[in-house]
Amino acid sequence: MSGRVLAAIAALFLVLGLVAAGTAAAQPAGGDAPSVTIQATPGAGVSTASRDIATGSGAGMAILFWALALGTVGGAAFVLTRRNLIAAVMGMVGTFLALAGLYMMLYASFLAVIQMLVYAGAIMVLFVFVIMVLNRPEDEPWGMVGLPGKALAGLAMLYLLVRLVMLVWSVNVPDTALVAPAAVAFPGDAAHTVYEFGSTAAVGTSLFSDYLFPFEAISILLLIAVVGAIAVARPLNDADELPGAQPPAPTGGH
Amino acid sequence: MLYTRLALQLQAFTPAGLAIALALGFCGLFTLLAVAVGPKSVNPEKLKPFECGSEPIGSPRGRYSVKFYQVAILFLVFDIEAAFMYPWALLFTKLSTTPAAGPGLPTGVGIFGFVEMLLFVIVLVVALTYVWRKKAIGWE
Repeated sequence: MSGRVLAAIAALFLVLGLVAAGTAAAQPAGGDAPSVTIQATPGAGVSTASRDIATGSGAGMAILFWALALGTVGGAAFVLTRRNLIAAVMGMVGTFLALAGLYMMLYASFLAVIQMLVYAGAIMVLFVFVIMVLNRPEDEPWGMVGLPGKALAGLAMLYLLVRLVMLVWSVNVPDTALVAPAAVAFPGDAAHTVYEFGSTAAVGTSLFSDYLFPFEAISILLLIAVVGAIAVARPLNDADELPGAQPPAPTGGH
Repeated sequence: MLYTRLALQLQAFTPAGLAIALALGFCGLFTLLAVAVGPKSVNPEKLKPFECGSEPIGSPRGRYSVKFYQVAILFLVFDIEAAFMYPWALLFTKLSTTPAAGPGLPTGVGIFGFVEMLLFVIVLVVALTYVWRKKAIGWE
């Protein structure tokens, strides 16, 4: 039991180690290759106005991508193979963190930070609480049993696989896919401040101008989530606890 | 060549990567050292769960009250609310500045950004009030 938890933590460390190694490998190597000048913009976090960086970091970026891809798939495989649910959640956190790294490679640094804060932080907490609430020794994973069930599951997986392959086949990657998208300018701004695409400031610029109504609608959505949370945990007929459930574990007994 | 701009952008996160690498390196190193070098004497008494010297009461695998889950969802909601304030705070100066009336004239101060976030927060204050009235925060 604890061995599996240790294995989960070790896997998490491995993923993070790969991320760190990839980050280090992403350092542009010095050399006398032709260089490009890049104008640093506010929000990019680069202090110097412009820098020359050498080419030759493509291999490092490829290593970074494959390390993160391995971390994502490895974490998912870890989740699938664990019988200990807490260990599975740890594998899921590894997947989330590797995904955050992939988002960062897609110029979505704000999304990457949110991925870490909300998914690796809050959603993980939610999963752990679900496991704690539903924790019963007799709970066995529900599965398709018998030949018809297995045939149905197999067909469903085959359908999913075919659709995925069709999707990958149909996507036509343009040559400019690896070039950073255009920076975002703030509307009505006299100074024409531009922000690096995907940065927090650029996301905010879109959110608070073009997508103002969806932004305000999010607050309604969050309100609905609060009402749902209250409704799902309301007492049934003044009986505070479900019959058979243990009372809340005493806390602070140290 | 195509990757160079991305490399520059990721370079800004090098300190964070370095901090993660160092933290994991030290944690892993000392864990491995403890496993490899530390003395081991295994007996049934030492493998028992330890709870401040007391005898464990019941199974740690029991079910918990659903209220913990409720608290987790409420935390998630207000966590996401805070996440939306992050870009807003970064752009607040920009959102509070009105364009100048003409070239050379100073820019004005507006309440656009303030009202935007005020509307957002008011709805969530309604949510907080609802939670409060339903006595979901607070424990019996």
